[in-house]
Amino acid sequence: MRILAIETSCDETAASVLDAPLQVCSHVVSSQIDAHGPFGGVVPELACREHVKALPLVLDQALVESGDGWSALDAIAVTYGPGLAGALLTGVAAAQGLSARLGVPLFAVNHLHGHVFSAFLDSAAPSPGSLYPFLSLVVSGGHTCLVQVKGPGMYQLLGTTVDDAAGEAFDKGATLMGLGYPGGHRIDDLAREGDKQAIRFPRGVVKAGSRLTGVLDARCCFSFSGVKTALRYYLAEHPLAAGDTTRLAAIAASYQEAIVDALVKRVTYALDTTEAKALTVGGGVSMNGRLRTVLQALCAKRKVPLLLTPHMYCGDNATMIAAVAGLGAACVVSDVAKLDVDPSPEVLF
Amino acid sequence: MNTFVSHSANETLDIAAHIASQLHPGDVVALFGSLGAGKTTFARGLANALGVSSSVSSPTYTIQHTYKAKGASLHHIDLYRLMTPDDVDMLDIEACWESRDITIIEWPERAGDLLPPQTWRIHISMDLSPEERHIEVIPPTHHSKFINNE
Repeated sequence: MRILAIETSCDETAASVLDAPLQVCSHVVSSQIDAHGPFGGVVPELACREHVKALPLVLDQALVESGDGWSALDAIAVTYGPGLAGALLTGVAAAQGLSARLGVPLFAVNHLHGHVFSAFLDSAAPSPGSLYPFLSLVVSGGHTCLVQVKGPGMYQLLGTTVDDAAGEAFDKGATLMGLGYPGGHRIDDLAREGDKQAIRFPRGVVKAGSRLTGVLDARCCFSFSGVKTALRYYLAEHPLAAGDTTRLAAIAASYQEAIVDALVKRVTYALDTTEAKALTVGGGVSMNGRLRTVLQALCAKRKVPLLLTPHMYCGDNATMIAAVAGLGAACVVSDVAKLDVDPSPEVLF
Repeated sequence: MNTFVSHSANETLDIAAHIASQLHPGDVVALFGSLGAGKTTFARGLANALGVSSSVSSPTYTIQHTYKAKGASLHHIDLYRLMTPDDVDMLDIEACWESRDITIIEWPERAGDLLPPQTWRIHISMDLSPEERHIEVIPPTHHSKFINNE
C-alpha cells in the first residue's frame, strides 16, 4: 500500500510517500529544501501562513522523489491535530480533495502519534509488533509528554508538561543567553565544551496532588517555566562578560543538564512503574546529544531497548504521519467530506 | 489603573481569578511582560477561573490554544514568534473577540493596533525578588466598575 501523507500542523509544510508498513519512498519538508530551489526566500521561519503556497510544490516534489504518478497512490494520510487551526485546515482540505479525486481511503492521524512511531523509521529498528507495550517520550517545541503505547492506536498518557515544552525551554533559554531565537540547538553545541555542574538550575518538579496535573501522576509530569526564570535571574545577578566563552559554555551545559535531568527522571520513574518492553524517543528535542547519551546509559543499565528517532525524522515531517497509517495505527475516515481539524491542545492521546 | 503585588505563583493565580470575575463576553486580556515574568501562569489563573479544567500549557509554538470554558470558548494566543503586525494580521485573530469568547494574548505588543477597545492591559514586571511580581491592571476605558478588593 502506497501512502501519500501531508503534515501542516505548525510551521512545516511536508509531504511524503511511504510504502506500508515503513518503506520511505520520499520525504519532503519545506524548510529543508535548498534555499536556491523553487522556494528560495519565500518560506520564512514562521511558515504557518505559507502552507497554501508551499503545499502544491511540496506535494509535487514528494511524487517526483518517489517516482510515482498520482494513480500509484493507494491511500492519503493527513495530520488533523493538534496544531494551529488555519495551518491544519490547509493540509486537511488538500487531503480531502485528493482522497475524493483519487478514490482512495483517507487516514486521519494525530500529530503526536507520528512522533511516537517516528523511531521505527530507523531501518535498524525492530517492528513495533514485538514491542508492545512500550514507553514513548515525545519532546518538541510544542509538546513534552510520556505515553505508554499498548498496541496500535492504544495509548495511555502518563504525563505532560504543565507549562512550557522542553523545546521551548531550550529556545527561550538560548534567547536569554543571547544566542538568538530559535537557538536550542546552539545550547547543545556549546554545552559539549562546558561544565554541566557549574550551576545548579531547578529541575521543575511538579508537586504531588498539584491541581495542574489533573488525573495524571505528578511524577510523570514536567514543568519547564521555572528553569527559564531561574536562568533569567542568574544572568541578571552574574552578567556574562562579552567573549567569555568558558562561562557561556558552563551556563549552557548547566541549563541543558537541568532540562535533560528533568526529562530522564520522569522516564526512569515511568520505566519503574509501568510495563515497557522498549523506549522510543521522538520530536525535535530528541536530537539533543546530551539527552541521547543519558537515555542510552539508562536503557543499557535497565536492559530496555532504546529506539531513537533518526535525526531527519525528529522535526515535524509527513513521513512519521504516513508511518502511523502504514503500521495500522490510524483510523480510516468514514465520511471524508466531514473530517474536521482538531487543534485543541486537550486532545493528546 | 490598579497594581497588585504577588509573592508567589499561587498568588498570581488568585489575582488572575479576581480579574476573571470582572470580564465580560468578548473581552480581550493582553498580557505584557518579559520572558519568565509569569504571563502563562497568569493565563492559567484566568483559564481555571473561567472554568477550564484541563492543564494550560504555553502556546508559544502552536500560537493558539482554544479551550472550552463556561458558556463560551477561551482562546489563549501567544504572539512571541510573530515579528510584525502583518504576521499577526494573517492569523485572523479578530474572529476570536468578535464573539462572546474570551481571548488572552501573550506578547500583545506584536499585534500593534489590532487590539479592540474591550482590551484589558496587564503588565507583569519582575524587578523585585525572584518570587515577587508587580501586576498592573488597566481595564478597558468603558469599564467603569473595576473593583480592586485585594
